[in-house]
Amino acid sequence: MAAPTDFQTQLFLNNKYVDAKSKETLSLVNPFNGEPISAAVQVAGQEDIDLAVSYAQVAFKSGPWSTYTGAQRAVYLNKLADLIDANAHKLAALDSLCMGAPIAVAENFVVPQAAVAFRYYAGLADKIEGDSFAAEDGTYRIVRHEPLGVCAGIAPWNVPMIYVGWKIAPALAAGNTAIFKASESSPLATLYLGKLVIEAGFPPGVIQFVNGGGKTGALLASHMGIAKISFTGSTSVGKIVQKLATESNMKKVTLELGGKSAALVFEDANIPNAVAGTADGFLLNSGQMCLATSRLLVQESIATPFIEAVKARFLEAASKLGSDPLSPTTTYGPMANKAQFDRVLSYINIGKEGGALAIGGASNGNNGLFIEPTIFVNPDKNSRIYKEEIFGPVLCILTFKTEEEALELANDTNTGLSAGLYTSDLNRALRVSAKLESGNVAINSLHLPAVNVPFGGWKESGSGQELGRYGFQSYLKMKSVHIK
Amino acid sequence: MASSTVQLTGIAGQSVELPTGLFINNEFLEAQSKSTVKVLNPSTGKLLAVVAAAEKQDVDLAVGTAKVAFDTWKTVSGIERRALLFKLAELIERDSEIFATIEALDAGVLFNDSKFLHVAAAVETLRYFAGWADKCNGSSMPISGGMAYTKKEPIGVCAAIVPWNSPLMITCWKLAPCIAAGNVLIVKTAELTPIYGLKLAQLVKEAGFPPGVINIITGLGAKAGQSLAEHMEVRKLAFTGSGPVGRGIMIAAARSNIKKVTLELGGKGPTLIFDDAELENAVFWATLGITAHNGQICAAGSRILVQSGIYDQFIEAFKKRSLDAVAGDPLLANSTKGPLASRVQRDKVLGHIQKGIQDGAELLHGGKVIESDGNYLENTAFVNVTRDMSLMRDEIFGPVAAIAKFKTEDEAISLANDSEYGLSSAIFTSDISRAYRVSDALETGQVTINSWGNINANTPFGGKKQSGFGKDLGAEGLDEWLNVKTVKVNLLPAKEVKV
Repeated sequence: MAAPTDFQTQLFLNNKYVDAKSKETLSLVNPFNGEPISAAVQVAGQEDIDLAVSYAQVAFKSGPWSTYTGAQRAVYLNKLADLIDANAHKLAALDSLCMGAPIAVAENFVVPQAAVAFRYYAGLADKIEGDSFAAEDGTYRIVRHEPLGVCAGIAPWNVPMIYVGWKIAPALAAGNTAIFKASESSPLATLYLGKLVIEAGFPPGVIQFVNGGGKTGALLASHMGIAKISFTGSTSVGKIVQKLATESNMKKVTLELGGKSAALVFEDANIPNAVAGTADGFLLNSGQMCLATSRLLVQESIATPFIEAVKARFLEAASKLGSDPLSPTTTYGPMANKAQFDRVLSYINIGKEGGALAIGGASNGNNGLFIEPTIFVNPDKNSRIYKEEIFGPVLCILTFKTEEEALELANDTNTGLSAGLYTSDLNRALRVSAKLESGNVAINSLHLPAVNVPFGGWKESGSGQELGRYGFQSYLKMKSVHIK
Repeated sequence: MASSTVQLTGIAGQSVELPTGLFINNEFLEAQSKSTVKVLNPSTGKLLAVVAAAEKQDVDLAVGTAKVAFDTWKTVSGIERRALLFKLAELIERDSEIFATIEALDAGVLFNDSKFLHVAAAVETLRYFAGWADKCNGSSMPISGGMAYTKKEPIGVCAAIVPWNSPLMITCWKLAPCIAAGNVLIVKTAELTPIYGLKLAQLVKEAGFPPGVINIITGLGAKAGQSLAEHMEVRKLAFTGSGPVGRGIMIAAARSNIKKVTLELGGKGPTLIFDDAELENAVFWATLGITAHNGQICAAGSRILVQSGIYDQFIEAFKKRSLDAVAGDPLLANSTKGPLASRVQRDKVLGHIQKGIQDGAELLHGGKVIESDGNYLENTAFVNVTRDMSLMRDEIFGPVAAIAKFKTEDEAISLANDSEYGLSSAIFTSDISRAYRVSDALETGQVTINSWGNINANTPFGGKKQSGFGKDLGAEGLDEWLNVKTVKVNLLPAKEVKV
């Protein structure tokens, strides 16, 4: 399909699209063909963020939203879910245009997941419950769960529309108001949502969208009027967000950061299934997933044929490189932007110097920011390509003899987001998953977060959880009331 | 054999045509024995409809289709069940005036009460439980040598026997959590008020529920109700109705297959009015508590206990307000008082009034039939009712208040708790400590402070003592429709690794 031209580039504040008072703009470039998309995307500065926060505070404290029951809030959340589904193609096309995801994946999975999140959390809006305690000592005690206030969400560019659901739905279900910033390189689907927010009937100031890069994000993280910030992105930026949050008003922080997750394949795994999960599954979104299992650990006894099978899948994907993400038959897209493209290539070059390149390793032709699916076999465990998150289609494969060795390898990282484990032995599955130092473990499949189950990283992969009822709790605060 | 239809006429010529059959497997059928029941309009005494009445073989058919349906229904995801419940809520909301018309014609509920309170509550209940459908999760816990987890599973084939006083709302109290939890359900509506069930059945089909998931039948309690209570394939039965019938159901359940039972039975709700109550507020709610729907509410505030300091003022205002009622056609907006649901019920209430007079209670106001072809009865109150009188002990289910004076808080609590019932109570006071203290002391499943009768989808409702057991609404309401399965996995040691 032709690149969509109907999109919004302004900030969405108080139910209106407005230019930024900062007078700053940023440009977007199509990663498939290098063509400019827009040079007029408004960038929110201090004044704009101050405005957004004041609108959100009014909406929270005294606007109609503050008077709604949970059941009433649920009506709006469900309505927005319906509108997202009805506009899935449009929203998917805008994400695809900005960051190169194949539109079939964006439209059939990513965008609908946002609606799934809104519907899930709508069902919790009228189920906020605290505790009550008997007055054994003459004092009655009640714990109230109350919303936080203005909640900010900062999203990365890899699956943009999902974060709209993950960060806004629970915030609103809990009674908060939300300010959301998409990545500066993939803002268009998010900004278009402003129209749907109005159509769904949300009062002004309940959901707002701001744009910008790190500077704008820093303004949100430091703002004295924001009660909570939920950030998904790189570990290094996550640490900055946490620092700014602490130094300003100690706002609550949830972080979903990077991973260098391992997939463990044991000799008794269902091999075709394991290949699908660790090869095709790894290449989802061209490897640009925080939960990608970018370290593949294979038991020695099956390593040779297994690695060949994985290579074959990578070569198959590579043969389809270069296709327009906006075409419905495209399965493999480019890197999302030039900066990421350069980053991945530089890691590949480091890896090449180490001599472990097995296949791939090059950018693909001069058609867009495509990088070949790449494999390094037995790289040095101290090398940067093995230790650091690359966030691209670059897989490191190591072998192991024993279960203990596999666990040691898997856990030897300061990340802990999403481990994979392939075996047909139930005991091994339970035993090993219990010992993996990871916030999520997927057994015998690729890990895809489910909206009703908490998703969060261990160690430096993050703090706190999103999704499920645990994620919902993070948008509420407790008040203990003692009545004599 | 497909059933016939009936046409009802509401206000402003609004007309509703409905099938009259038993709704089984998404079709309307005659009873196999051709058995029917006559439905009268309690406001006029006239015949409204003749509808199919289920007997044992019809119940067997309904249960059979439910069992078959469950095989597939148990594979349907919570998200899909959620969507169906939302759709049903939307359709009921769309047709709220039709339901209000039906409840006015068939059950004697005031049209506006039905539309704005009962139907609205039914919709709220469906939406509330829809949001639970995809959240029936268990827990995981470590055990030595392995790990364990619990699953919350549907019970399977369930039944609900529902009453005639707030028919749609109470039906949805059962239907919503039952279906959200993944069960299949047979609803037996009251033979006095079956017509709303026919409309509900149409919407169940329109919403897209697969056949057999929700069956709606009516029939005599002694036949259809008893068959359900005895049925070997029904694994849970929820009943809202009178104590004697509830007792019979529990016995039948035990004798047949020990099916799970929840009972929401009668009440003799005490309303406690303390000296420091805000008088106007107390009068408003206390009056409503015993006159709303002619006191035909399990949660009716039928015993009004008034502290001596406020007694005279309260009585004067209560009497004035009670008498300020316009008895008329429930369809009409200016009617503030409808008929009792049946001639039988009216006469039962009259019997209680006669007994009260015989026992020496002092009539404050009312006590007489309002002459008409319908079942109208004056708002009635007795004062100086002592705790041993029938008026104070027995549920009347009519617009009859038993009033007593008390001096101290302890006396009020003692009087209020001196009952085999324990459904709901109301306290009126401005003293927060007293409010908490007294609500603690009252032996009822629900206590309202400075109001009466609040029903909210997210708060559990159900009684103690002979008011029954089990909860409707709230998270606890959902648990009534689930079984917990515990799974424990024993971890075997690692096999030797071939190196």
